[in-house]
Amino acid sequence: MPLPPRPHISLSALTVHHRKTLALDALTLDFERGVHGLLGPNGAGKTSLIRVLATVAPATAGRVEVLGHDLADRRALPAVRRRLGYLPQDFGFYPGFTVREFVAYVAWLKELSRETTGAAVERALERVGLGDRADARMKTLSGGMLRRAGIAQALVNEPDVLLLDEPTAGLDPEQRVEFRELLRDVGRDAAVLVSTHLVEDVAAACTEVTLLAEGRVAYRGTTEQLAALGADPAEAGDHPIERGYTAALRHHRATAPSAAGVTR
Amino acid sequence: MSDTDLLEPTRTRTRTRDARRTPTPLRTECLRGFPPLAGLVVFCAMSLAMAAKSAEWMSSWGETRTLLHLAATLVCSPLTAAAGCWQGGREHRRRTLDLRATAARGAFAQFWPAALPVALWSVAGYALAAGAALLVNLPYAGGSGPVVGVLLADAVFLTVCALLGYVAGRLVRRRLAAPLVAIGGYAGLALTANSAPDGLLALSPAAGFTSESVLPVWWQPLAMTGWQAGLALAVVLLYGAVRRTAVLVPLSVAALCGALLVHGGPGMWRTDPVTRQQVCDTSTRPAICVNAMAGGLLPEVRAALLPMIERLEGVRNLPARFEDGPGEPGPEEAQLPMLRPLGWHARRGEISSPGLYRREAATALSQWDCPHEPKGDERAMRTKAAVDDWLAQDSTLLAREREEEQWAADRGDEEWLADIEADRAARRRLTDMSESERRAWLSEFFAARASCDPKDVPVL
Repeated sequence: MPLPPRPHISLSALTVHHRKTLALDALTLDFERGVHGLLGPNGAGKTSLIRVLATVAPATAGRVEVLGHDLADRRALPAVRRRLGYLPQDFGFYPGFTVREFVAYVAWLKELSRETTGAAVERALERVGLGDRADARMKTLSGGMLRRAGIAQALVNEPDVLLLDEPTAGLDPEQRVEFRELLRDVGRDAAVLVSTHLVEDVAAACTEVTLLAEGRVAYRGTTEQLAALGADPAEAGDHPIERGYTAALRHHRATAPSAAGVTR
Repeated sequence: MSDTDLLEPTRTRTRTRDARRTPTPLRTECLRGFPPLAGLVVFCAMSLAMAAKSAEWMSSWGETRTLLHLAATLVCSPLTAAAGCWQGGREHRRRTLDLRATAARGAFAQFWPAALPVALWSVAGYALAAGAALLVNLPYAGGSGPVVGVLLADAVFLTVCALLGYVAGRLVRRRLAAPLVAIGGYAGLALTANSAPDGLLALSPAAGFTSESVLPVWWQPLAMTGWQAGLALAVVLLYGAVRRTAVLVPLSVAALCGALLVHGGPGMWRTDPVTRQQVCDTSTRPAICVNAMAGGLLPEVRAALLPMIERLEGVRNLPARFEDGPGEPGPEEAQLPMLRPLGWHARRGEISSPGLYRREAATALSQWDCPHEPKGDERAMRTKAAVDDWLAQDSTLLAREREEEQWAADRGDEEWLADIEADRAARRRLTDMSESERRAWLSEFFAARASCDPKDVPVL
């Protein structure tokens, strides 16, 4: 009998400290192919988790496997990074570069071959709707366009794991609708983790939701299951997902002892 | 043949075209952002430094190579290091550190396209300014010419400064890091160039050309390049966290070259053989010889001396030539007024005051040709002065004499006034002679040069 396929991302007792503050507390999770929403209040540990998965920040303890590679093994990092796309929350860029140059630069950083880079850049820009602004300087782009350029650079290597930290900040409603469609498209072949505060994005684009609170998993399930939690209209929130989010969070706080975000 | 086979050449062509269109990181980094500005700054700094001293180097290869070396090492290298540091701090300022941290390419591979553009533009700025200085000199400079090895070693030094500056900028994430690197660079170079012991001085990139007439031995620029580049590469390898043992190779090269430089010490510098050579114009009498270091000035010198030489036509017993070699003039020679260091008589390829220069030449021509200057008597001195004035045809003479006369009159100095009048009378007697009479008299006058007895100076 063949072995079941390994998950794209596997965390085992992942713990992250920022100086004396505990950001992630012994997190054990798997993420398969599909679009996964990462929800949680400020300071819940969403960005810390994304940064560890992006190989930017190290884990303090525990084991992190991405695409079958243990991130503690430094020799495995280039192989993981080649198949990783990442949009940081605070997306930095070079204002003098054109959009094409910037995305091509990231393609080079991802070790795409010179022969395939041109087409990959064109495709990434088309996917985010920036094909007609490819030769515009980054500094001339609006906030929404910059965000799309950020998403383009994350997509340029056709990643197997795509990590997006607040990707819809600055996008107008029409762009957000297009972006959700893009997420669904990418999620067919890759594991996509979207950290966001916007529950509508989660409801529309994500298949699974992970709610973090104080560095722990407060809730995990499908979008429909979270919406079902918010079936009670007396719960705070305008949207079933919002109400489900509030209910799950309140339940977690009531049952779990306070741990993360405090000095240890 | 299948359809796929038929399509293959088209796909290959498309891929090649795409690859050509795709901007490479090095090209992008070279064209965008700060590096071109760094090149412009280096070009302006070099140009200003050279322009400020133009009177001292134009028309001399020796001075030109000395000043180019000092401008590159003392003025431009700290600026280049600061530019590299600013470029290195870019990732922090632009918040791209996280993006770069997820790159499959390691820090060492990422280093080159990000750090090299500042180096390339700085070297381009230096090369442009240095090339312009060399071109300006080309028509009339004399001497051994530019030393390509030193020019290249200075370009390597600028590259090293840019690369090390970049590493500093990546490690020290402060906006003030760049100006501090520049200030530290200036202080460090000034200290090593001025107060380091001989052995260590040889390791300083700014040391070396102590005068226009010295040249490095052939291997000095090579050793200096190995010393600087070896150290820089070792730092870059350490920064790039490539296998630490790889650092040993450039470190060994740096140590070997450094040891060579320290061992060579001042012995690495030799006198330019050209300083012992002269270029002569033998179409005149006396002939005019100019030191080969300033050989390009010979036509200007000839033009300045020509009015005097024309007045000496037919006169016998003249020195055979004006000479401009090291040491005292030999028998039958007169010392050509000093052309070097440039900036006094010779500026930017021209004799700045031909009348004054001619007067000094006339004084040298009528100088006693004796091992020791004989004790002159007043008559002989006045006669010599009259000859000098008549030969020099200095247009400023009459004005100066009138000023002296006014000065003496104001002070009531009758003796001085009498002297001035006696000088004037002596010159008038020489001017009033007929051509043939004067030729004979001057022949007798120049014959007295070698007798070393003032009494032999003919009466005027």
